[in-house]
Amino acid sequence: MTLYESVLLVRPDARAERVEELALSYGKLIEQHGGTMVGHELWGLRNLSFPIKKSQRAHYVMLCLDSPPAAMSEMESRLRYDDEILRYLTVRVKQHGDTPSPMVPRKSEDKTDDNGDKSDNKSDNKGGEKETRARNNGNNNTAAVAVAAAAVSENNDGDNNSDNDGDKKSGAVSESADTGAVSDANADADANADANTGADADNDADTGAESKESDT
Amino acid sequence: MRFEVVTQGPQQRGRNGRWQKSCPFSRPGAPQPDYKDIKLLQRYISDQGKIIPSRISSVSPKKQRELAQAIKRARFLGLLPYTTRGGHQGASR
Repeated sequence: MTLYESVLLVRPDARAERVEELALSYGKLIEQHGGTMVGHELWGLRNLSFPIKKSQRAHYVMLCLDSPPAAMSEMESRLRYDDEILRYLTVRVKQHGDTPSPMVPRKSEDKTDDNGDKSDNKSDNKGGEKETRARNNGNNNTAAVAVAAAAVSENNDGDNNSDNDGDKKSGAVSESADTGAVSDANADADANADANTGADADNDADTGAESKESDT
Repeated sequence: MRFEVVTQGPQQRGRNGRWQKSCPFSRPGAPQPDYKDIKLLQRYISDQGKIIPSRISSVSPKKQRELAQAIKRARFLGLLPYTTRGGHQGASR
């Protein structure tokens, strides 16, 4: 038996329950062929970096499997003709991670606690005191999450297990900062006026970042 | 080409007197390249989406191969871009 991780991209118009259903059905398929599904992770509906089969977004599911290779090829041949699956990637791994991958969104962890052994421990460790503190300050959950994520990413520099949740916010920020820097350079090359062009460059950077998001 | 120095390992003076960085993945307890950890991988792609060469990021050859594999997997899954418009030479307009 070999350990595999399979990531499936499911059409964005599918419901979240349907995505889980799909994951379980493929797990069942593996079990029929003599393997086991160790666990699965729902990564939620995410924006794609580029359109895949004309979709801008997709539901992500990861299956952790322990199965004979024949069962995997059977599953892949089914996946290939499944209209709901946009894309899939199967990777052989040495061992399954005992903590949820950094892709798992926090909120859904709370909801889907019962999924399996994988989802529980890390959420407690990750946020730590800071998360609870943030929640006490304001009831706004998303704000709390963002704060906690920021705290986590700060800690990561010194931390050993730097599994950072792939938080889009900080990513987006740093991206726009990068483009800002570049277009600043362009503005300098244009060399019109000093302070004003600086401000312009900032604006341009913003719009550039936006249009990039909408285009891709 | 503009690449920013993204990570700094523990530093040492090299033979030429410059500061030399060690591989950020080779330290004990360091995070390993993983296609699921896009926040980590994002530090190793340029703003165009290119993989930053190891001579800039000072990742060891072994880890750079793993990193490249991880980035390519993440790209395939749509987690990271193959390329982004703009960035270099103001192609955004």
